[in-house]
Amino acid sequence: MLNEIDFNLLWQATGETIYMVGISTLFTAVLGIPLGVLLVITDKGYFLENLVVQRILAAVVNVFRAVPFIVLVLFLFPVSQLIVGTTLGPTAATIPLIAGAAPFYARMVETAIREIDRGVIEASQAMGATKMTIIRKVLIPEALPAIVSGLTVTCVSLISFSAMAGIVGGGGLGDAAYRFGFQSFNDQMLYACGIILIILVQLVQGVGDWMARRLDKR
Amino acid sequence: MIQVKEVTKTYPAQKNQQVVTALKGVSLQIERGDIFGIVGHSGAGKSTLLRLLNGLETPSSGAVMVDGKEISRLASKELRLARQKIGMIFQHFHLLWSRTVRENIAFPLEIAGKAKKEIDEKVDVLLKRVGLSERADAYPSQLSGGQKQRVGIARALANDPDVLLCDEATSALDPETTASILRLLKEIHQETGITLVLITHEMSVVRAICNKMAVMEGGKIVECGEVEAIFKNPQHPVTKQFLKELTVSDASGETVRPGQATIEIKLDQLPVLRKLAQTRPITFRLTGGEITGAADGDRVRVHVDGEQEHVHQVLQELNGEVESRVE
Repeated sequence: MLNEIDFNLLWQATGETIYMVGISTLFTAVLGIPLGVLLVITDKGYFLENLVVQRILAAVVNVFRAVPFIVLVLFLFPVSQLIVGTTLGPTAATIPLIAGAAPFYARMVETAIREIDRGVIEASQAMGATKMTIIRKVLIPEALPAIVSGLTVTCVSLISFSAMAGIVGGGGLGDAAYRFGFQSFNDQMLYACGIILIILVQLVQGVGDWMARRLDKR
Repeated sequence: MIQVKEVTKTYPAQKNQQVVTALKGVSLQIERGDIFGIVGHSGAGKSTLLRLLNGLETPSSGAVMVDGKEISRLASKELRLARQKIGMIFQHFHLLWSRTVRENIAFPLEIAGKAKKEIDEKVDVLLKRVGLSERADAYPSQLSGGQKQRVGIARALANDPDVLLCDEATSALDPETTASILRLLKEIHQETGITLVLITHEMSVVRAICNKMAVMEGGKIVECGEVEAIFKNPQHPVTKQFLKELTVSDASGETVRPGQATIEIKLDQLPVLRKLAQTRPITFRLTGGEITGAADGDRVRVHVDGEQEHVHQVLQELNGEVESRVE
């Protein structure tokens, strides 16, 4: 019944998607968390207040968030070429994925950190904490459940973005669904790719929810 | 121990607003071992004054000295070191909810760069001191308000400070818990000789533990001195008003003769009572109550005096509005 599915191709595409999403989620977190923290602490009334820096960061974030993802992919071909040396394949696709997701995630981190009671920050200052200590031991741990659940949402978006990036040469399940499914009139392949994407999303969401719940001590 | 000299604090003008002056030439002297209460309504500047003492606020002019160091002039590193010797507790506790009780108390010791072993030992002592050894591994969300404040106190004492600043530390607590927290602070004061500075809007707190006090109004200290002397002979209208609030909510145990009644009614029923008093030969007098702005209306205790018959009629007229009758 499933005779039209090329399982070798399917597994390879799944591997590529996991690779793309994995790498880009990692870099999204690495870039997005510091960016989100900076967006808050440079704002008015926070301990690293610098409104010029704050406004510039906010503007850059907004620009990246305003550009539709598929356009961002095309815009960033030269950047992929520069960093990865090619515009094709899963590794090259991570560049626009990160560029699209990191600013989005930074805003989520920002919101999570703004939720922290200012009094808690003031109390830490009153204890003689350095700015770095406040970031590492107060801001991040106190916002961690929201930072984790934000990363879950971002990772799920990355899965769907990766399918889009796949179509313009990134590989992965999106590419497989399009080329070996849609264009080859192979419905089984098309649906198989879709089902695997759904399973991936469910897994990521489940694990993310579980982690956020474990971390939340409120 | 603490000297505040001619301190003025202004906040720069915001959009469409004028410059805000929170403190206008405030001077204050607090001796080592004092329990110093600063009383004032909200907006009187007491919170700003307290925050000057550990450098959370900087004065626009004037100087703040704590333990011989001019807090307002310290470089950031020295200020951080000085702050480790000035504990602070808060109305809303400001604990880290992601940390257990034990880890919360350990936090200032981590900041001070103490070794793990030393931290563990010190935290055990502090937990015992505030009576929370059993709850060491609980999270703040699992604690009552009083327990949270005990954690706050233990945390504030972790680096053996010379001064403890209390920012409305009991205002979020019920009277019973307030009493137990004040008792704890008093015990700690007796054991360590720590200097306590507390701000409050409750005279009862001052009466319970302070030896000296200052009354603030409009960014100035309007009265300052020994608690006993001020309670006996208040000078400034604001002080008198604060003391009056204290006696009103305290007055009770009125003896009631036949023909008299002490009743509790809603505050907004007072005009009704007044109208009734105009039509009958009765008098009434407020003997208790507190204006808290409670959502369902504050209740006041009123003593009604007159001929038995008339009092009875008035009570009938008020029927339905009388919350309870104290015989």
